[in-house]
Amino acid sequence: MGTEFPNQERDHEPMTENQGQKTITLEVFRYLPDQDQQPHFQSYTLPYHEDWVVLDALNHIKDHIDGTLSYRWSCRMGVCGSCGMMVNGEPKLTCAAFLKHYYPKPIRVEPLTNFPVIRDLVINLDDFLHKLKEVKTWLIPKEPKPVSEGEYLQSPEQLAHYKQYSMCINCMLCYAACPVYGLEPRFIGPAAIALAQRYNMDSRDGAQNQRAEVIASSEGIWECTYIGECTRVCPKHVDPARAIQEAKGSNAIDWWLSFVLPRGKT
Amino acid sequence: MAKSNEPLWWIPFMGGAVVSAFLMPITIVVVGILSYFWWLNEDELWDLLQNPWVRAFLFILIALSLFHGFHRILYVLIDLGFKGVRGILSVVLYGSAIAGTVVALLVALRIWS
Amino acid sequence: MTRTFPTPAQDTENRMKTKEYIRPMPATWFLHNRHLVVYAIRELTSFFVTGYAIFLILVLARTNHSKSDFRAFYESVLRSRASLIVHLIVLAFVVFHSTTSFNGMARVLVVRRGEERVSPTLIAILNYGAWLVVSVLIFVGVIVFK
Repeated sequence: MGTEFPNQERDHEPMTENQGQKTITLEVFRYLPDQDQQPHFQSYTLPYHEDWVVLDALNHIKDHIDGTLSYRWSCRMGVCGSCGMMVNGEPKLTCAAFLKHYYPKPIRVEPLTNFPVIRDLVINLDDFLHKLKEVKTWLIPKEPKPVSEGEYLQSPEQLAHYKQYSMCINCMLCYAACPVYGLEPRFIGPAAIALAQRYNMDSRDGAQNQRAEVIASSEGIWECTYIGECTRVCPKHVDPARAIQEAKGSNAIDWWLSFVLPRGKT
Repeated sequence: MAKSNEPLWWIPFMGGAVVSAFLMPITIVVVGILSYFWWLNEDELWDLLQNPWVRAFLFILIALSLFHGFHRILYVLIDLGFKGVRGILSVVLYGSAIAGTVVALLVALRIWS
Repeated sequence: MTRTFPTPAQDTENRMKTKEYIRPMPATWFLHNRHLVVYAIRELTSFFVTGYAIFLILVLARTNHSKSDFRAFYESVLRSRASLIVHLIVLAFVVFHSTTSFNGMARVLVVRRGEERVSPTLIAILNYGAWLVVSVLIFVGVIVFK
């Protein structure tokens, strides 16, 4: 055990089966495709530490109790977006879900809803990655200029227009939370639309019309019924619901204006 | 994926949201509550409803509320799983909104009773 | 525009070699948490808005008949206890429709002064304020000019 986990060094409670050691139980979704037809839940009881998050508990399980458990994680500080899972039915970054909020009750950990499960807590996120590409999440300048002509200039006010939408870490909690995505997997989804808006509203970008082919389709913004769960669960306060409603407004106005103004307006 | 024609319904839907949110509660109070408690007797209500401005107000409230309501009802049904019959539902529900608006116009203009 | 990237099912080279588990979406998904229940009720209010709009058409239609016909309608419908109860229920749902609409609109209406965004709370308060003013004006107008 040694120095693998800094928390253990600080922990003054003995690590053996002592009456004084508080414990907590995690009920974890297990699915091993080679042997299981159906998933099942496996209960793990482990030492409770007040400053631990669910990810710490999962790491403890994997390292000391059951090495067969599979899950994704990376930065453990809420910036990489890898460790999203359902904690007691709520989509959460497990590196940001503190055990003390649930203690002493057991914690149910499941893979993110609305995604196919590859194994245990690992989901297939190909659909989301495809949609990011479709939506063209990169800058496409109106008129590309060579490096020799200098930088694209942008004022703080112009930055403020899209900055919030640039905070997305692609954690997909919003897709897990969105009932519309659950009902219609072809829905482009909150994060992809928010990221499309991040580029659409960037003063350096000129590809609104290209993105509109995807965003303003029936599988884009118009599938959304402004439930708002996406914004509620977003750990980076991106507010994708607002991005979608803004897109509805601007696309609807463009649509009606296209009858009044000459073609090729945008 | 071509751009959707949803904005055709979405603008009246938003207009209906604003108009019904601001104006429907007080309309309900005037028509259903004030009259019950005799603060607006039948002659007064009659005179009120004959006023052309009031009729115009009611027509706009009715028309936009219908487009707002039927659009949302369509999506409630889709949420409940009626995705397969979406085309038929659209025709029935938006058709009802259009029909209701036409009837309301004819009634407001006293062409029809 | 056609989708140029294959779905996992079509992408035979990169398809999963093991069987994925697909969890079905429960039919009662809108009861899953408190927020979804509120959303469901919020959407139900649209039935009441539609219903009352249709009722208003009927009321307006009655004014195209004779005054005695209208009097009969007034007495038998609008002054009945059943009508009061229905109106109160409809009013409750329609007020909920109004509040959820104002809250929803305030959250997505972004007004910026320079880099700073005007607080959504302020926008909501302005919405509610306008609602109150309009309602009071109409109420006073009806009472005074009847």
